[in-house]
Amino acid sequence: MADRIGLGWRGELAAGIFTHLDHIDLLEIIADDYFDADARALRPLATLASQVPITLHGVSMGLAGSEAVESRRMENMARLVEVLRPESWSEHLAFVRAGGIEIGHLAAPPRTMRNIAAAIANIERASAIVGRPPLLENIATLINPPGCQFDEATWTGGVIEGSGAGMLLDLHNLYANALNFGEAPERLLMRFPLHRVRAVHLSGGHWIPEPRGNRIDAGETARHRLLDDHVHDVPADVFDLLSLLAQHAPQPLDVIIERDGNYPDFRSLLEQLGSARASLARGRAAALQMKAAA
Amino acid sequence: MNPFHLTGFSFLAFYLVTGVLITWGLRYAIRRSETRSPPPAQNMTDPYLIAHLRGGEKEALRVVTVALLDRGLLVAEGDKVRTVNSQAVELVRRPIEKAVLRCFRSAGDAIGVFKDEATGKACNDYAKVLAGQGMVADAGVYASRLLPAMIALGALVAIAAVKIQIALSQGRHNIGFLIVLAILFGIVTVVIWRKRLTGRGEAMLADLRDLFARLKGRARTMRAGGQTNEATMLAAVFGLAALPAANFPFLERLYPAKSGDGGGGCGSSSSCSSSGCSGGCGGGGCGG
Repeated sequence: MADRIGLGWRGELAAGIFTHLDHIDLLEIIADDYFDADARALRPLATLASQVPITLHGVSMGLAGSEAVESRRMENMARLVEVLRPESWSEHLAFVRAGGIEIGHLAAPPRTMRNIAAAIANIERASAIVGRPPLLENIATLINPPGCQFDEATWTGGVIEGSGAGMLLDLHNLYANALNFGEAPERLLMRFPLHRVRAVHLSGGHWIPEPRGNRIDAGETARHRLLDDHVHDVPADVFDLLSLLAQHAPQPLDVIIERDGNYPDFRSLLEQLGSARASLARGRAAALQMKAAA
Repeated sequence: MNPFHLTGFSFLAFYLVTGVLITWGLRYAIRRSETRSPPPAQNMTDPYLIAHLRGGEKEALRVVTVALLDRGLLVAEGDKVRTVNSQAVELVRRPIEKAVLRCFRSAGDAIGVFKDEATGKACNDYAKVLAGQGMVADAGVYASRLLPAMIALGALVAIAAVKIQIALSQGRHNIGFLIVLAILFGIVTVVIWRKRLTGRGEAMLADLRDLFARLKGRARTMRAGGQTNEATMLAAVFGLAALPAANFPFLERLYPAKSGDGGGGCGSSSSCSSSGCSGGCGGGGCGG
């Protein structure tokens, strides 16, 4: 099976997507938008799935919370998976609620042993209810959660290896976290469990000023923070990270470009799809060269 | 209670309700049988295929014409259209686009394209694809609808006939409204039987409208020449009326409300110079 390049499905991009399906190998659908949909409302998605392979992406399950996720949230996903038969489903390694309060944001949990165990328990239940394990996505965070025992890569590796799930590696999240916390993105990438990566997200962001009075911890040199916002083009550095990933992860990758607003001319998105394809090809070629040299 | 003992408005009300139920049941049964199999594998990526599904040959040709105008390969001069230059044909890849550009090598009315043989042939290809995918009715579909339609029609006629017989035998001749109702329901039954789209075609069209709903929501921001494929897709899925008249001013001139179907006769100055009236689908439609 070969690498595939696709887009996040957004109604605003429907015309461009439909007329350029020859450039798009798969589409990612935000599952939460359809949790309340009845059979009639899901039929257009089934029609979409008959045109192009789809994957489902959840944003509100909160698998990395320390509390058990309610079964109904997992059953919503299970129902969608049953109706739409996507090739895979994914969720974020984030916590989104605590003590009954929804925070409406994908927040980084404290990276502790206890939290790893809780996340693995949630993932195992989700896998059982949905019928197949999710791909787990790393998130962007502007703060290092207090009380962490592990850094992001170690904690993510612990959850991924412990649960046996595959990883959806968001390269812009990784890039933003690396820059915001003073690490080289390439080094951070290499510390993730690359052999478990099955899918990749690419997106863009913008720099925001750090609020005045913020304490600057050791290693945190930035006075600005890179915010992952999905409304800007994918930066060249992130395409370079994709090449590096392709060089070190020999398994086929599904790469999705996410765009949630400020939609550009579709030609610009096609160019970014082309850049992703070229980056993967560069990485694969470099891997072959490395193998030949060895 | 025997409904045939009802008289006057009571029986008419009974017949009305029965007729609605029978015709609704016929439509439901046909639609159900035509959507039972899995959805078609046909990629609906071609806006002209979608336009053909929605409105048949003429609608496809309207969308092609507007798309080519939007791309600057056709130019509108008053209420006439002509191909911008002889190289334009080489710049497009779809046969229907080539046929329309060839059709307008000499300036003509936009609706002249409906009578052109080459454009008709290109439309025929779309009609065959849609029929092959079970989205547009062909002879086989009409044949399969015939039995339920005949049963429905038979029931409607039989009920009316029995009542008329009873009324006449009792010396009552106020049967006019019942006859009118029976004829109306008969027409509705024939319309259901003759429906161009199959249940699967209707479902596909409804799904496309759902998927493109957000695009329609920002139609007002679309400008001619700016976002060709979006405007074309919007027109394909929802019709030319979905395009904002202020930003596509040529629409009103080229397709004035009353001349929309272009049913003009031979020799009209509106027809394309290349073929005249001998072929194509202009009169009866290619859609089957």
